[in-house]
Amino acid sequence: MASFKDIMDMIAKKKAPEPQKGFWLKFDRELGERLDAIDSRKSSRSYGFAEGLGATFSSFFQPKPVLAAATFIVAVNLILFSLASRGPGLVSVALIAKDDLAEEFVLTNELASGENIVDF
Amino acid sequence: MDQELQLIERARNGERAAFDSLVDIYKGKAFALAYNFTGNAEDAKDVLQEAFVKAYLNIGKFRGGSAFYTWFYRILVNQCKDALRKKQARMKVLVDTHEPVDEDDESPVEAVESGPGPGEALLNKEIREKVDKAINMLPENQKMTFILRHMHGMKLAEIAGVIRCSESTAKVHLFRATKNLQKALSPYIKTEGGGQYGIV
Repeated sequence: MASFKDIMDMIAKKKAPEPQKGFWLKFDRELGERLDAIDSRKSSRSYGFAEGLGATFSSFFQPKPVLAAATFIVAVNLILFSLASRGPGLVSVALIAKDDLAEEFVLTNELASGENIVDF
Repeated sequence: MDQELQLIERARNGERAAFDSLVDIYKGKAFALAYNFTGNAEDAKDVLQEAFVKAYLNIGKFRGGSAFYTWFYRILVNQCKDALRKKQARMKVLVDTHEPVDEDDESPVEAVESGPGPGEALLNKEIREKVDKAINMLPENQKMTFILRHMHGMKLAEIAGVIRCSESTAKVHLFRATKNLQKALSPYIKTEGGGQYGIV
């Protein structure tokens, strides 16, 4: 019979078994293959992303008739939308009648020099 | 140590060769830990490979707040626990279906005799087997704490870092593990003055 201290000493001295010859070679090879697979996945993922981004941008510069037509339609729609949504107060100066224009100038001239327009 | 820090930094920046060097540094000790926990070389190898793969995938998240080996051992310990749970579930299925368990698999390890010490000479093979069995019967955290402390010589603070608990909790795990082992091995222990083996 042994004392518990003997057992604890035995546990402390117990060494892990030495792997057989070739164990670490096999281990390194298998691990290397797994890490290689991760690396290739990583690089293919980043390549795929870059490729996709490039394809998206290059499609804008390709002279395909469908793409050109779509671009034209979008541009026309944008112009129409901006014209339709123009507010009533936003009128081009060129469209103002001469009398109205004169009134606008009179109002502006009535402001005292140095008077803050915000306070007015 | 500086060289190791450089390796870690280079590995964090995605340099594969640096990670391979870290694997070479840690694989021996880490294998011993995995073997102590799983009990066989094949499982230890699988667990260790999985731990290195996880470390490789997550090394960018390693912030250097703890030592690298503590961070890596944490991954390894979690892998060991997962492997053990899966193995226990498989064993349960085998027992339930009354299938015989094949224990004749050739182990890819060779037993190493470290030479008979003064205390070791007293212990026969039966006691060694009982000790191994008693350690394997310990609850997960107690087992891991006991192995890290008594087989790998880690400090309680380091163990606490590995198993993610407070130092006092690690101490409790270690105390309970020792008590449980003492109880399990009581038929084989010679009692001298009723003394108990305390936590060192």
